[in-house]
Amino acid sequence: MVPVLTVLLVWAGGVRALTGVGVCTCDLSPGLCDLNCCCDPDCSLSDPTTVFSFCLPGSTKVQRWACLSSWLMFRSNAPYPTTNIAPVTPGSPNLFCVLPSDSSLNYFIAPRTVSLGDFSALSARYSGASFSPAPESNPAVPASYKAGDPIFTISPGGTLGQLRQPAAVGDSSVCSFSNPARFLASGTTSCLRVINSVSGSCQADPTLGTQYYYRNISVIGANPTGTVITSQSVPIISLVTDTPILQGGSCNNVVSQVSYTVRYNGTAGIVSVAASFTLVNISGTSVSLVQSFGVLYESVSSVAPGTVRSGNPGYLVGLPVLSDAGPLLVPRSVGGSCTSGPVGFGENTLSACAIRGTGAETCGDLATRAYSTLLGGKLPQAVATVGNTVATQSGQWVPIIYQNCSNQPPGNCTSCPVPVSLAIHILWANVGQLSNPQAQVLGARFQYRCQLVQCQDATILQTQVTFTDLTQRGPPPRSCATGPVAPGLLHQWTSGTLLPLAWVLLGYMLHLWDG
Amino acid sequence: MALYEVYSHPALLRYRSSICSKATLFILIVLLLTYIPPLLVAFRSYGFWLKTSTYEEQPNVRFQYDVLLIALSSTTGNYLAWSTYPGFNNLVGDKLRLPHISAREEDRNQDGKMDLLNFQLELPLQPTDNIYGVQLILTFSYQLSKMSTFIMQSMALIQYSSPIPGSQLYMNGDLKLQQRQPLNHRGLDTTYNVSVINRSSPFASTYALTNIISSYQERNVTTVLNAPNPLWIVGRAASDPFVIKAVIRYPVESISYVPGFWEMLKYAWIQYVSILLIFLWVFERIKIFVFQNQVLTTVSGPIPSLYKSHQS
Repeated sequence: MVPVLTVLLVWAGGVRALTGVGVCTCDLSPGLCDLNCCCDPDCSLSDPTTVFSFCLPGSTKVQRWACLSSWLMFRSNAPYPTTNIAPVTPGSPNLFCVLPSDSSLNYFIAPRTVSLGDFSALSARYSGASFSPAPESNPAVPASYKAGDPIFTISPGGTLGQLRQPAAVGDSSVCSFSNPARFLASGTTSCLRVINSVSGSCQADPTLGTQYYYRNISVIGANPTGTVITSQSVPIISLVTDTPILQGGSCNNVVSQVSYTVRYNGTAGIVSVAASFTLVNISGTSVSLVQSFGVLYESVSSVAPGTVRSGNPGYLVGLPVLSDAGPLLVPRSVGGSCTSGPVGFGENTLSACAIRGTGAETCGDLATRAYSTLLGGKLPQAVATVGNTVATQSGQWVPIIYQNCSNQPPGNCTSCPVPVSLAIHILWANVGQLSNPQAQVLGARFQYRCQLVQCQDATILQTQVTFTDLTQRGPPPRSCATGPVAPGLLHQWTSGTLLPLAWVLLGYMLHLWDG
Repeated sequence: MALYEVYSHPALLRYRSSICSKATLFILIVLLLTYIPPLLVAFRSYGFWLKTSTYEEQPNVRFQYDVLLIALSSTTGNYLAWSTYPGFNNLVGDKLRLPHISAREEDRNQDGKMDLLNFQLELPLQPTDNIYGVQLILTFSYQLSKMSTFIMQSMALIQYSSPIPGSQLYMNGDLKLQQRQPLNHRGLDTTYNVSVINRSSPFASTYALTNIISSYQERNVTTVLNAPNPLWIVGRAASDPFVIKAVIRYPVESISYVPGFWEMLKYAWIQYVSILLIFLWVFERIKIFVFQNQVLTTVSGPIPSLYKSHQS
């Protein structure tokens, strides 16, 4: 099969090319001969190919020929110019080419004139996106705040601002002090301050002192009239008024934590704002300080905040598992010492920390401490079955099955039996409707493993938490049946996807019957 | 003179029987065995119903001219930033640097669809500044129209970091489509025609890259910049800006889609009929054998005379 070729032929060099190109796009320096520009009249060359190694695109005549093998075509009576081209490579067929004079292939259309009247219309029709500086509208104080709105403040001088909740921006953890707090979105942000010179920044950097966060800031509670009046605003109250003081090489009273408590009264707006601070002393040459900023919203009608549920009723994934001694805890290693953190429901966890016997501690003391540390300092006896269990309800607790180490003789400090590992195994299942399953704890087993250690050595205590789903599932939904073939096939028949084909077959059979 | 067969045609034989007879039963069973088993064979050999298919299309991609740049200017977490989002620029405060940006989209084959984006950004630096890493988000509008009309706002993340301070980052790659589920075969799909970053938000959480990436990856259809060879060019004169040059190509994509009803039926029909032909041939032979040899009793009509067909 001989393909019909459409090739773009380039006529290189020669006087023919020089005269054939009406527009010479590469003649950029008038009066001078441009390098490799074969159509530049300043070069006054009869054959530019003798001087230039190649001709720049656009400097030679380009024609769009439609070609096919010449043996396919015997004679042309088309009104277009034709030519026969000898094969470029030996063996390939001669080409018979037609030069179509199709005006749609050219841009020879008179450009339209643009006037003031139709500029915008034309530009809107053809232009796509571009860099467009969005006009920054001045923020207007709303009549009443909606959830998620920034909260406006006003300075004694009448300058509008916003209540700030500094946060990290982008992917860096460095603080940005421009982040606005969102109305009703209680939460804490923390970010990093890198203080290169403690003595220099201590009193010069306003963000290290408490006053930056409350002084001369009044929160606009609401704006029902549309015109901001200073009397409608509520000042931020702070009981802490200490300012940073440089003492020796140490900077005292540096803000490490700011907590705003905003009380609001429905749509009537913000009633009061109180700020509380945690201050630290920093010293050294270059310090990385983590500052955290919390905003808590409280309704004036709300009662004192109570306990937070871990689900209602079933546990939600990630929320703490409840025990009779509060949330279930596992040890955590922070900076070389042991602290504790809660166990999230459904998350298999491994955590560890190391303890070391002190001078006065006996082997028994160390073992007791290890037992306590493995559970984050508490010894719970029961686990709540559901996330909304209240301590007084007796039916919603499952006792913990403890498997302590086999009774070993109390050793001395050179060979002391100490629990080094605790395996917490929690069995749970989904109960209730398939569409709205509720996770429920069925049982918990705490299994210790002991080892003989020396009291003075560091002993690694490790707690692992495993969750096992015991849910008894019903028959799978029909759409993903993986069982026997027949139900699936039957289902296909009834579900309608096969039905049209059945109709077609039926029609075909009826046609045969008639025949 | 030798004779040759100039033409032939089959003669029709008629076998008659009453409705309640073995022959009728036989014909019924053969009819069922001819038409039902090919369906079962085609169905049980899988792939009877075409579930997904693919087609090729060059997407209509346009740069949306939204840029978010974070340049890491120290190894301890300090940065310089700029974006086309006014909220973000407010947040970064004194870390804002105003760059020079040029962007040009090229339609190389003059088919009305852009083929690549040339992007260049020059970030002015102080003589003491060093750039150790770059994160740059560019947004695009991405449109497919061959099968279903699919419109989305997508992004490309350019990210590079190096322990050696650089003077230029050169990226040259493809903006590839990533599908987690096939597209429809027709209709309009604007599920993801939402901004990657909310332009009007003043909050820091909107511009946190973890939030941007996590919400973007929730999408079933995304684009990703596939630039396997980023170049980090080091050595910068004190007064020079940091330059990011990127060439982002919009290649032809192979897009998977859910075929429509008629396309499904067409492929099912092809499979069914090709198996049916074998069954038809086999059972035709069996029927001819059974009736010619009178295995089942039938009244066979006389072979019609070709010359006297109009008599009697």
